[in-house]
Amino acid sequence: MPTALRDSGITVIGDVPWGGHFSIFYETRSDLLDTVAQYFRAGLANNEACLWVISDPLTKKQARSALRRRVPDFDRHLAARNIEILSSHEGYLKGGRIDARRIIRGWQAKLRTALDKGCEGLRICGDTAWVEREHWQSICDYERKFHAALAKHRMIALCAYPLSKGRATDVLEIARLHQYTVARRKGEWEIVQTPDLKQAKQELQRQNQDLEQRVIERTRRLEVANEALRAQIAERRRAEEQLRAAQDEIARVARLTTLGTFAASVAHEINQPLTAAVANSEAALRWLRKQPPNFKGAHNTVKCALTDANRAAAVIKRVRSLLTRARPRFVSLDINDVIREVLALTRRDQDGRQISVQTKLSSKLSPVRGDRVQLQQVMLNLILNAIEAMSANKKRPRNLLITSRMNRAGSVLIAVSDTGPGLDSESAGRLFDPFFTTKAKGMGMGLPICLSIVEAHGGRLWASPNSPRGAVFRFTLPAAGKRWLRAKRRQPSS
Amino acid sequence: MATSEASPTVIVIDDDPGVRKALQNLLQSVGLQVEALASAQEFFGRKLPEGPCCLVVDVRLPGRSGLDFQEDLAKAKVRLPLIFITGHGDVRMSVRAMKGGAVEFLTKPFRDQELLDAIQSALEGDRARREHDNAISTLGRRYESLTSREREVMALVADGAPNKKIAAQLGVSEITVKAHRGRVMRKMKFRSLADLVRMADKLRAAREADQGRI
Repeated sequence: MPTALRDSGITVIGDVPWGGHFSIFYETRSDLLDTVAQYFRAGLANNEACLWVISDPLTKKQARSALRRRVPDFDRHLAARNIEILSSHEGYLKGGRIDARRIIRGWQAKLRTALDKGCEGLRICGDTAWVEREHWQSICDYERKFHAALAKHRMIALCAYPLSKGRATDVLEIARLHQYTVARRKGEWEIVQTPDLKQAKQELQRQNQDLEQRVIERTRRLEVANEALRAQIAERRRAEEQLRAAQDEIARVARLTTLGTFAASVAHEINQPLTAAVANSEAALRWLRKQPPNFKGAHNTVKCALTDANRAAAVIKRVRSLLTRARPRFVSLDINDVIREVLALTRRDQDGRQISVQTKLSSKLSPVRGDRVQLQQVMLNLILNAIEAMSANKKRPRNLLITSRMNRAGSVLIAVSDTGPGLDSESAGRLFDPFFTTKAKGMGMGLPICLSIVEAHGGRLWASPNSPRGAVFRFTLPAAGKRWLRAKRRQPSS
Repeated sequence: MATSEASPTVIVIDDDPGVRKALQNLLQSVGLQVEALASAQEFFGRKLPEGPCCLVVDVRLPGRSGLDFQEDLAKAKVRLPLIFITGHGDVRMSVRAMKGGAVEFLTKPFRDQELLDAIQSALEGDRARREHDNAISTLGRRYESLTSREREVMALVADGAPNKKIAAQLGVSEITVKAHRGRVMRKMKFRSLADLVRMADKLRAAREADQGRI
């Protein structure tokens, strides 16, 4: 049941929920008509179907004209059957007697029709001016059953009782059967409070206060918990940042230490011939400054200086070849050959660890321009990584799949897929960072080197998850030709 | 520079043949005699040159380092001025070298003038030391030719005693003292009394230094 409140249209009652059941005791016909008109006016304005069961001596015609005066667009609503006026015989006394169940079923049927029409619900007003003493017990029985039935439906009911007919006990009884009872007293409408109602209201108020208190309490506790959580998150983030900084520092120091040692030895190696070259050049100048100049001495020392300079150059050359191993030799090659060569090289690793190797190598590949040894190094790295990743778990299948094909951009695309544990999101972001490794004995240099080789060839290298498990490493190499030349121009140092 | 003296020699010790050859070239271009050696051990196997001499030594040598070599020289009482050259000198190393009596501590690569200036001052020092040593030994030889009575007279004259007092102290006549004194002046080739006083002091200091060293 939606809890949205409905406007009762009656000022002293205000908004009521669906299932609202209240009664009015009226003195004069105009009191009744005013109140009922306000009631229906609000209902019609809020798209509720309205039903008025009138009572003698009021006729349907009088009822219609009374509403027409007080409710805007009344005739339109009447024509649209948004409001219906029934006589007490049609409403309550079908078959000549008061049958609570039949009456209630009747209201329920009206409600279904209203809902089918797209109305929000049904608003009923029943006048009991026709009720005689002998009906009193039956009408109370009906009210009781109706009250119970109302609670479950999108219905609001207003029961009108003429004050002139009721006795004090009757009024009390009626009041007890309704949530609200409104009576016309001293020219003003006011709510008749029964002790039950008062008590219920107080209880409700108390529970409301209690609830509110508990909400405040709970909110405060949540706020405290929230604050603690926020502090923990901040603390964790700070710790992660510190960890990351420490790792960066370690990597930096490791690089510097190696570099520092290396630089010191290179500096010494170069300093010796440099010192000699300087001294020899000075000596040569002195021979030349003599009167007469000693050309033979100058010649000899310049020759020595030249030897020294060449020695320094040789040191530089040695260092350079050490750093780059050898200059890459770019030739046109079939990447499938490279894949097959490396697979042959790693056969021992595959067999030793029960890896099933599958290849799907396209026979329609363009040749690529590249350094065979470097590309072998990339394949070797990716294949050994895959084999190692799958070796940990003995139960899962270990399938290594290597494919090659042309992609839509006209590059050669190579993929190495494994069924290992795959990449967690933390590792995935840092795979290609130098010194990052997930292996116990890893240097963390394999993938960064692969990346730099592939990029130097004008290609791309990336990792993604395999389905249902594992990882796929893919790289592209531009096909030899114009594309390669363009890439080459962008990477002149390769 | 006395023309009679042998020309000065620089002994270079560096294990790097290129540097060794370059230093040799540089020093020869300014008219210095150079002996180039590859290790400290080679030095002790050879005769020291006649004329003034100094050493140019690389700190980092195979076997005995340059600093070890400096200690070896002191032990062997070879008092040759020493210039260190090094590829990577640190403060500690240079302090140790200078305390050991090194003339200069140069870091490679150095300006040639720095090295030549250092060599020049080292050779000056060695020449002065040699002259001093020569003078003392000549004086010593002449002193050896004096009789014991003549040495007594010379010591008393140097102390400022008049002939009369010397005669009284030695129990001889003043005439005899004068005769001894004349022979001392002639044998020692002193030209004046002042000469005698100065030389006697030098001789005494050298002898005391000798005794102190032994």
